[in-house]
Amino acid sequence: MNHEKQTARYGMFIDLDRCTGCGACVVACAVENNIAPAERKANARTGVTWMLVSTVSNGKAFPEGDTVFIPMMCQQCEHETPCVSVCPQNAVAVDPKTGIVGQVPQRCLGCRYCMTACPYHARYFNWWDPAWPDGMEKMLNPDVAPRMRGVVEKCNFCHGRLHTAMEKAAAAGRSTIDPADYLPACVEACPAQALVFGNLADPSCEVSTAVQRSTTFQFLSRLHTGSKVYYSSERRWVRDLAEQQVDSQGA
Amino acid sequence: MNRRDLLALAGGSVLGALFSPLPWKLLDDSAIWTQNWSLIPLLPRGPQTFRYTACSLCPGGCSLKARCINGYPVTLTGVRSHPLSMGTLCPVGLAGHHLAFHPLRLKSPARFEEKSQDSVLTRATYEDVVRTLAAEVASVQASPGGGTIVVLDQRPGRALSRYYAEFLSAFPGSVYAIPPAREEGTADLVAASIGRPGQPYGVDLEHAEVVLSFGVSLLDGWGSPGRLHAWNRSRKESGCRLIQVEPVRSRTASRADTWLAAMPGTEAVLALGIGYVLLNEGLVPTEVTRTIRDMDQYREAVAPFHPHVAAEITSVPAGEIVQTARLLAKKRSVVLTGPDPAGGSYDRLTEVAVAGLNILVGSAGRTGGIVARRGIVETAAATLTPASFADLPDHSIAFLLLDAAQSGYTIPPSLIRRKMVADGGTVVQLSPYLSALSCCADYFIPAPAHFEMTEEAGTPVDVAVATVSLTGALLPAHSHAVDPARFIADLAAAAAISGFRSMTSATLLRERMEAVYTAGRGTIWSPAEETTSPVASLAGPDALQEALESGGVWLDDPSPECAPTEATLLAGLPSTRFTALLRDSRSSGQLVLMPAGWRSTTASGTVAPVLSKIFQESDLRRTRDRAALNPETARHAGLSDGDTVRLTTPCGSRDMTLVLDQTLMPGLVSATVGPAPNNADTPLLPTGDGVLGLSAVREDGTWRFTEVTIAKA
Repeated sequence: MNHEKQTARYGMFIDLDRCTGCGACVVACAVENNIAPAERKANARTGVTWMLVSTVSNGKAFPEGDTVFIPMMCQQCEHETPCVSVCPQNAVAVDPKTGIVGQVPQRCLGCRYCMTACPYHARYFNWWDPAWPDGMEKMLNPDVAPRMRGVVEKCNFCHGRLHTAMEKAAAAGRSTIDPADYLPACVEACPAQALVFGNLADPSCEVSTAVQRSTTFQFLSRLHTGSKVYYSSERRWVRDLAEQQVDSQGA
Repeated sequence: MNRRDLLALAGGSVLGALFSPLPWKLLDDSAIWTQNWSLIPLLPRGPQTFRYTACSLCPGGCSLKARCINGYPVTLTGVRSHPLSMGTLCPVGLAGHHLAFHPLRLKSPARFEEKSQDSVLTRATYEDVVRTLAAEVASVQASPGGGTIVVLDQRPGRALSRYYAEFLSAFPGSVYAIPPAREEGTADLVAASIGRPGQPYGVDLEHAEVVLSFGVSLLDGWGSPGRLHAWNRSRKESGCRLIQVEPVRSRTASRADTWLAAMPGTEAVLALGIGYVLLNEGLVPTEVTRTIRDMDQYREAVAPFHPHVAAEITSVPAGEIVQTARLLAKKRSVVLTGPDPAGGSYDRLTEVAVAGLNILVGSAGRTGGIVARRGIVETAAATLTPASFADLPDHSIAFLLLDAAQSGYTIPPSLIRRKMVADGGTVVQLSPYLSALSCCADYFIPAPAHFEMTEEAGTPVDVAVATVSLTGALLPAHSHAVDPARFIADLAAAAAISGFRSMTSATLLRERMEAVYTAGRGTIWSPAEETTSPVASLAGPDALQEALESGGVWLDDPSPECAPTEATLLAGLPSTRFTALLRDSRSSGQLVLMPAGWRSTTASGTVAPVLSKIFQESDLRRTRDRAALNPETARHAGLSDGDTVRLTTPCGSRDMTLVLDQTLMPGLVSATVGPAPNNADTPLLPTGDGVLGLSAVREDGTWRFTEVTIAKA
């Protein structure tokens, strides 16, 4: 039971018709969150990509074949957050003030129960010790703790940036942050401006307006996870993907 | 209390503890205790600063803001208010600060002992290498007919480029060469067609009403990405239509208003078919027709390409060809071609046919079209007319210097070797890392990595005015890194070239600043203040340099619109070359191999290891040695997704992993030339050509399409 009043509900809106699958969000996320380059043996299943952009096709033959790029990260589930309830270590917690589902790698046992529970496959296990080329550690982000082999990690809406925004607000004597001061790295990096981020509880926020579109949907909404990441596409076949289990390169 | 009581107490305590938080707390704490492993990197600590600068990893020159901790950049972000890049950094640029520590970083001068399968790189001292190369240069000069000295500059137009030209001017017969695949291809041809060869041109996309693009990856790496994305977002409102021509439903094609899926190798026929409609329906304005000197020859050239004939050859419906022509004529249009980062440019006939369309629709020299921009005023006296590397005679180069800057577009190593003299000559690579062309080089001079030296980020191809921006030195240079200008100066001194100016990149830049300031043109945009001021308002060249080193950009004044007074459509080629396409473009039924890549990512050394997120840890971008095939084509060949397949061309064979892709036209094999970002490969062997080793380089130096067979390996 939350005893503190939630003051914000941070969420994201992704326009799939704007996304060109360039990968800028993926790289920006990795740089911001000190995600190490892939171990030589890593692949799409064993790698660590907090932000993963999947390529899904409509299954039609050429030239009717079309693809959509789907950026997928932790959907910040609001209702009965699956990963929270299964964690034996209390390593996952929902921040009541922001709605952000946080991961505490230092408490993580590596049982991967949360990965099983997550219907979006948005959690990643460190199969290997993260390693950076010699000298590159000088360029790591000091606001994000590195993780070790054997723990799970995931997107947390660049929680470090939220803290920086809160410190800035506090230094200026304000109790609330300036929305312009808190943008996850992926949103900031997107060249097509396909990602919109903000406080879903604030009706004046761009993200609140965007999620009202008739073409907006959430993935696997039938599971009632209360995902705070919304997607939109004018293409009917893309919206129809929402309730399917999709893998990359196919429907 | 007896022993039994004690045992009962102990047993009860253990049992009771299981029902208490204690074991869970111990489990919990053990997880925390074990997180103190020796490999945990020490995060940087220190004062936080912000620096504005530009990215020079490709000619896009995107502006960026670097968040630095203890003087080292930790995060790079685009600058939203920048007038050209508009807040965008591509994935390569976002991790550009990591390149200084790339595993493939050259840590000392080196050479291959001999060009053989077992060659290894051997460290050498800088002085030894310079001495050896000076002797080579002198030897080449002393042997007339024994080959030429060539510098291949992949980023022409910089102050350093002028210095290369100065160096070469000391050697009669030497050549200043530029890459065969350049984004400026369309603009260069249009300039030559209207009698202004060498005049730089940009594209005024913001005022174009129709953009017909032949394979240009407008939304995936061409030009200045931020500007292109902003233009794309504005198209809904402005009504600008994008028509994309390519055999793949690419990222650009999927967002175009119309996608014309032309058979690979038939683009020239499509362009001529459009030209046929323009002429036969009287859609070319009289004021344009009057200026064209070879109109009769052009009529002969397009005469066979009735839309139905063009449709049969290209697979683009005749109705689409007619509609496209009418749209181009009716609206303010511009027609573009662009190289593929791995596949290179279209062949000469295609480039000429497409450039000709720009003349016919009157886009040359007018708003919304191909617009002239002024060249940056120079002070250096030496000039050499650049030659396309592909146009150099085969087996003519005895000494080749490969400049460090990357154009973003690859060159097949086989093309390099073809141009070298019979015994291989001497190839020197100036580069921070081992990269795609390292397999051709004999000597390696380690250049400063990205952000280690102040460099010029030149004018993006798509911009309508000349620009200058600088990449500041955010990192301390490694002691082994050699300033390319210093290398040239040292080489000239060792070769005893009299009167040669000894310069560094810093002094060359200073000269450029003086030239720009003295010209008195243009404005400076400053990222910190987000203001624009005339150059004339600055105190002097030092202030100009300081403004640019602080992340500003110099924007030239626009060149006044100037419609051409005369033009040619066929670039001096006989019409029979074009009519022969009627026969030569028809499909033989054979599969066609097209190397494919993404700008600036065709070699492992040029992308940061963290790009494994998109090349290795996901399927978002294909890493190297992936052959993509349409599912229908694969089915006919008895192949399935994930099979190891052998691709065979007249140039050789290579095994790759098959990927099925229904956005590809049937009959087309798209083979990736891409990085393996974190494989940290051993140094490339002399024959490590990869996919490009399968591409047949034609007489005109292009390699875009090669016939191929595919079978299970």
